[in-house]
Amino acid sequence: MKPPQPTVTIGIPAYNAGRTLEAALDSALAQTFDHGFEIVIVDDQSSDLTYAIALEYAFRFPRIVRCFRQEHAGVATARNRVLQEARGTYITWLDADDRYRPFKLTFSFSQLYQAINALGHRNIIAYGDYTFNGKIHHARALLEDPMGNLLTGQLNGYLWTTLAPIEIYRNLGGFRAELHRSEDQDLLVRFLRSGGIFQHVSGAPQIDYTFQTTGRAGADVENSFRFLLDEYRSEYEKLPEYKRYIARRLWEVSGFYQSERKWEDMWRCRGEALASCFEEVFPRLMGAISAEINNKIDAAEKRIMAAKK
Amino acid sequence: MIETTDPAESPTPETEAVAPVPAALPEPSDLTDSDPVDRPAEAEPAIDDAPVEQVEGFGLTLPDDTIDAAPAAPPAGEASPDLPASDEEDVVEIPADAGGEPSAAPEPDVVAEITLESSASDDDGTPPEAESVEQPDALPEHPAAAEAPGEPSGESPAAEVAPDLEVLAPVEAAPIDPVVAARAGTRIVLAIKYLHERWGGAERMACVTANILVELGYSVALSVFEPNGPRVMFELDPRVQVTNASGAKRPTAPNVLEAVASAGLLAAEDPAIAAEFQGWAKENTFAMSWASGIMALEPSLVIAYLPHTYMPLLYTLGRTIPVIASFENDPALEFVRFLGNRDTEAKRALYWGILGQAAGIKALHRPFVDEIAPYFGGKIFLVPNFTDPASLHLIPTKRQRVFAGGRLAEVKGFEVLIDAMKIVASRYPNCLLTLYGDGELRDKLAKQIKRLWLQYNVVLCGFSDKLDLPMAQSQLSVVPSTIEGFGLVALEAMAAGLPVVAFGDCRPVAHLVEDGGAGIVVDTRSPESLAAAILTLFDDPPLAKALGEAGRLYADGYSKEAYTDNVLQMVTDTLADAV
Repeated sequence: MKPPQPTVTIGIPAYNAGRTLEAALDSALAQTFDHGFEIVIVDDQSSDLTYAIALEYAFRFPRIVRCFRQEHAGVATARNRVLQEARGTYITWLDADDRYRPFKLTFSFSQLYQAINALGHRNIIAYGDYTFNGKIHHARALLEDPMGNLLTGQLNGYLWTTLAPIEIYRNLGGFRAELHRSEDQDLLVRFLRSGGIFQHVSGAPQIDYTFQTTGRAGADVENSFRFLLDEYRSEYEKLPEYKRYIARRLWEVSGFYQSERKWEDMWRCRGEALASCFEEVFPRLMGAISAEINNKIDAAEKRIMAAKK
Repeated sequence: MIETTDPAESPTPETEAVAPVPAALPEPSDLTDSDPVDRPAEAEPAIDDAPVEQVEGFGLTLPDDTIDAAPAAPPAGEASPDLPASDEEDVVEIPADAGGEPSAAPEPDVVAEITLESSASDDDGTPPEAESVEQPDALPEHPAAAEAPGEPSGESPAAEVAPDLEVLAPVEAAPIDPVVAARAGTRIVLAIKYLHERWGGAERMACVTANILVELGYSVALSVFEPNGPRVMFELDPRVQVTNASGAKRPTAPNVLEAVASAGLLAAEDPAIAAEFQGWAKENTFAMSWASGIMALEPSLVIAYLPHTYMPLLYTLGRTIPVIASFENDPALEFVRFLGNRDTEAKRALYWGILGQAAGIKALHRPFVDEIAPYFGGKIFLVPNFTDPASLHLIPTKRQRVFAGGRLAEVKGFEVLIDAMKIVASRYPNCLLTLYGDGELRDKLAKQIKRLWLQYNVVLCGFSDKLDLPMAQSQLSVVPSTIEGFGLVALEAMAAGLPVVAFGDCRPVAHLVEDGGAGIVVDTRSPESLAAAILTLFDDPPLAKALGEAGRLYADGYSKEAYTDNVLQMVTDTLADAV
């Protein structure tokens, strides 16, 4: 029996996701969706079992799952490959560490479809609620000012919450291959600039997102931040507290460097943050310095006490 | 493969009671009892597990000589000698397909009128504080749960609660129908030992029945006896008084003492029965405490749900006030619950001896009435559960869909259904089983699905209380349960117009399916035979449609109106006999 022509493509870019890919695929397969869907996995030349797992699922579900492998080129390129291979008229995404709930496709498709019919055009992306480490994240209010919230990161550019007519991605020329992070945020900003509209998907959240900070390199975070800043400076400058936002993000980036023990980069970002918004950063800086000094004093005291004994 | 069980051939409770049912029976229940959230796996306490209460010792009020001096209980398998074989006339037969017009009902038309008037006069007549309470329709998902803490239940002494009677009675205002006025002065206590955060079918029906009786104008209280709450999981009319008799300070009412005095009747000369009785009494030391809590509510009638409730209450109250024992399961199961691990002649004699105190037994299915009749001399009321007609017509889908629902527990038999789906999927690769419900077996079922590579064909949809749409989008429903009390999940599927596939060994469901000509009853509990039945219906859509239509018509007979009439008749009959 022929599978139904896929209406929706679920794109999964995967890199060294051997530990979580199976659960993600299980959740993507377990959809009550009635109009046909396919799953396209693009492995970014993982060094673990990712591709083997993808192959097994493709073998078990030949009518639904297809997988491809590319030379290591980053997530944006992997996403572009998904766009190339997709057969669906609509596309959504899934990252290997996230899970769909059973009505993810059903809810977002029916509401996107209604919005397209109501508005008479297809430049619409459905955006649903999700749980973030178990806590429900409501998007409705944030979607009232999508551009501002997207730029400040309040509205996350998580593509797995979305469902969109696939031509939106193609018309925008796909993802920027040079971005190794925030390629999703970048694409959604361009989508809004092209006059696109977000449609909120109501109903219970249909994705469970597990956030992990591990494996995020400070340099990648900084580069993608600077790229967006340069690219959309005019948009950022419209934000009410633009300087304060820049300072906050730079402080965040310095945190990544701190955990990597890259002190020079950490101080460089902290200094730049201070220059961007003194009021925002100075208290943080003093807090960090005094905490550090207090730690040193405590340690010294302990050593003295130990020596006395 | 397709079996037509003759209910008459079904084994008697004794034979059926023996092996296949585990000692600690999980609660047989309906679709709606599924857990919304992860609930710690808890076995339904069989009577043996009932916590021994620290209240005044029941053993003290029961000297050994009382037991020795007492007359013998009727031997098992024989009708009580006092009430010889009168069962045929006494069975109040309410045909399921009578569409809510029981032939034996005293005045069905008047009943309907009274129902309307009673609710109207209640609305006009209740004092303002009662009126300000939210109406059931507007209540949130679990209104009863939300309001339970505020109820004068929990810790408050039962004695304090009794004065509410006056407040509940309609006051002056519009002219009041004398029948309704009489009902307002008639206190009915629905008793169920455990209600706190329980989703079982019996718990649900106790709440539903309480709402219906209040709507009819009676003064209704729900009495539990448990350490916590109760936080009630089902919608409950605010006029229903909820009391927890456990832990309350209460005076021992004189009529309870009277009950104790006459209780010797139940003990037996037979030393084996006496020994059983002593063992049973030890496990039911809470009975006196609960009984006096209920007496403080001044009931005219007690309806007691499940053996853990009706056994102690029949023993303590059965001689004083009419108590209806509400069988919420296959009688064989009610019996097993009582028997626990030890199935002895003496224990059965004791069981039916105590049950002999009941003013009536309420049974869920016609065959069950027939099975109880040889053991019970009193009235047996057939009061099947009900379902609302489906709100949606069937919606065509591209994938062949099977609906199933219920708590994810061993007794629901979903493992064999998932195995069967592997076979079905080899013929219909796009088929989809939507399995609604949650429970302790969730992880195990998920693993089974993964092991069989059925992730695309079997979806665990979680708990939902809105099942109209998923049912309407399915071609058939499978109810693979091993144990159901009534089989409401099957009836709901029938009401939605779905043909139902069930196993013959689950008698309530098999009875509904066969009686309604609404599907296929599978003889052997195996994935192969189940898959064959599903494929039969997938392969033959006209057959599936015809069976679905038959089920829809059949389910019409199980309406809320019919249920209300049956309950009213049971109550009025019992009250009339008691006078």
